[in-house]
Amino acid sequence: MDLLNNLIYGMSVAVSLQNLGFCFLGALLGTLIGVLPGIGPLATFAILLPISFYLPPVGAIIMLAGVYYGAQYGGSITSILVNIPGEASTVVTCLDGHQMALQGRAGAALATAALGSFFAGCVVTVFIAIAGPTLVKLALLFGPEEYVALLALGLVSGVLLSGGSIAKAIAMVLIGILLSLVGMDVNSGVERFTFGMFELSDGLGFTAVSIGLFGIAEIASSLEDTDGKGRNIAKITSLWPTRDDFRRSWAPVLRGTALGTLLGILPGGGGTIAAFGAYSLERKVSRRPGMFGRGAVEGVAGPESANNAASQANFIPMLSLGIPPNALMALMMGAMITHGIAPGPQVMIRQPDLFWGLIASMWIGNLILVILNLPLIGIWVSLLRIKYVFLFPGILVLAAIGAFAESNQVFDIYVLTGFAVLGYALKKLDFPVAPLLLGLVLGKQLDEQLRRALLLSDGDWMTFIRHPIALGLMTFTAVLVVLIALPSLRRSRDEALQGEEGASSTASNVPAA
Amino acid sequence: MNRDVIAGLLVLAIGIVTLLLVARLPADAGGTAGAAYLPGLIAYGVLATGAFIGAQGLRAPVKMTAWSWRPLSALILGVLTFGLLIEHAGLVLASGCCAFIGSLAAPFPGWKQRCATIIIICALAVLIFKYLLGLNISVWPTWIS
Repeated sequence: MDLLNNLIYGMSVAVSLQNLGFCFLGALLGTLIGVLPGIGPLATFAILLPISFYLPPVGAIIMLAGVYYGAQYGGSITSILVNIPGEASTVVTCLDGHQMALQGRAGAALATAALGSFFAGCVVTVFIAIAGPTLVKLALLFGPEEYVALLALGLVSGVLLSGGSIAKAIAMVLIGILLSLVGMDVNSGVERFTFGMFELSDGLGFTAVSIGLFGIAEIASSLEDTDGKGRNIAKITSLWPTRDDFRRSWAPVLRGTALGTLLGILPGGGGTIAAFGAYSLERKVSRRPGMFGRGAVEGVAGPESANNAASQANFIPMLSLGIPPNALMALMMGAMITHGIAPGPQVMIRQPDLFWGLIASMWIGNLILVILNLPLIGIWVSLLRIKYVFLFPGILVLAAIGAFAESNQVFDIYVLTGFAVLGYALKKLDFPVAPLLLGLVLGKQLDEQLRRALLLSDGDWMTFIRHPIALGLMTFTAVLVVLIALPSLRRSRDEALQGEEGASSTASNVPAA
Repeated sequence: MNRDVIAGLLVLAIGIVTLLLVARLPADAGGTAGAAYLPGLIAYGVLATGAFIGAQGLRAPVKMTAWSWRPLSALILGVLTFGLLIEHAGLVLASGCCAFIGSLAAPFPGWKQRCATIIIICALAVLIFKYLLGLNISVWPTWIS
């Protein structure tokens, strides 16, 4: 009954007019991001962060969450209609979704994607409500040793599941940790890496760094990749899937939801892996595997449910343990910290309105998205025709104001430009940037907890082996490392993550003029 | 230009700078629980990965794709101009100049479109940040008002 009470409480928070408004705004902005060319969810999320600082904390987090899962929906619209994945996790949707569109069944593909996602969203909302508190109870038993082990797990999986070279990902995570240590050390009062600048004693501005790394660098490479190709936007005739579509879709939707939820909870897992996993699962169990890639509705239903389930299940480790499973969640966590909320087991206890309100708002948000995406599809289609040249100067100004507004310091703008150049260089040198963000968000915590643990044990590293939960987590981390190092698994990792890179390059492949 | 050798050198440089900075931290910052402990540890990790990346680059050379300077420098200059202007020249001038310089990053269909885009951006910036979010920034130059 507790569960029901909590959900009702959450609903009462989420349906307040103000929060409903934020939820709607978030879903709307998210869809917009997903649909508009040349700017991915990470970049937009970074640019929107400072705006959220002017909102009340609960409303801000609800809005950002809306942006997060709204982008998934928006991404599938462009995948189906123009064969350009707005988002890495909707790459596979292109395969069959766009084929369906070419056969004149764009409406059915969009509806299948939206309804499958909606179903997955509903299931996962309930699942978070059940799993979250259980994990919180476990996390409350954690001491510094367990936290260090958990942080290590989060960082290692962040490395393993980012695309490209593993050595480069490790370098990024380590540099991210170093950047997080800039500023005054709370334990000793020593200033680290501040070069004597008082602006740095509070640490690097998180917003400025992320806008620089993702926002500006992404605009630059989008502009660079423009080749003036026109777009073929498929026509939408009927929005309703046929009876045959329904019959073929329900099982893939169920399987996709289950797989997505599972992969979403695991650190490092997320929408992209879930979508790829669901697609290959569907192809394997299908009685007509030959249809895949030629407009099979199963190839839309499974992955779309899976990526939505996973992206929502991503909230579980972040909300209950304070470990963001991917870069977007790391940004979300940064937003919470800026609002004075420390993500972790204490959120549910100290701020039940935030925790349950957010969960309930996800369900509402999913409903809003179905409404936004099906009847209003025409608006999004017309937006798809906007040329990128008219958009990017606005995005640039938004980024500049955002970096400045976080603390009203011009210094942050210089930080932003520095990291913009770094972000562009890292792209050119083929470094994955997401692990850096993970290190940046988790580094300070790692420093504090590690030192606390070593202080308690007089500098003895064996302390991590003497604590059973910490040992368990460390073993799990080690197993993960070994598994990924195995050649056969490495190959499938590379295959699945190739989509991630493919997406960013195709997504930036937009006509400029 | 060997991409991964440059990448490795960049990482190595970051590691060396970190080690130098860590060495300059106060002496009582040492020890397992000191402020210098984790950064020092990580700096060695950074050096090791940097060397590894560079070595891989030597073994399997990949050419770095060319940098296109026009978009990057226009965007950076736009943002820097915004930073220089925002405190005294106000939101309209700062965003206008930022949008104009930034827009030079790509060829526009024409001057009319470019001007219209900039005007719309300025109007939206004032509307959203001044009136909807209530930011404490002056809209017009301080020497006017």
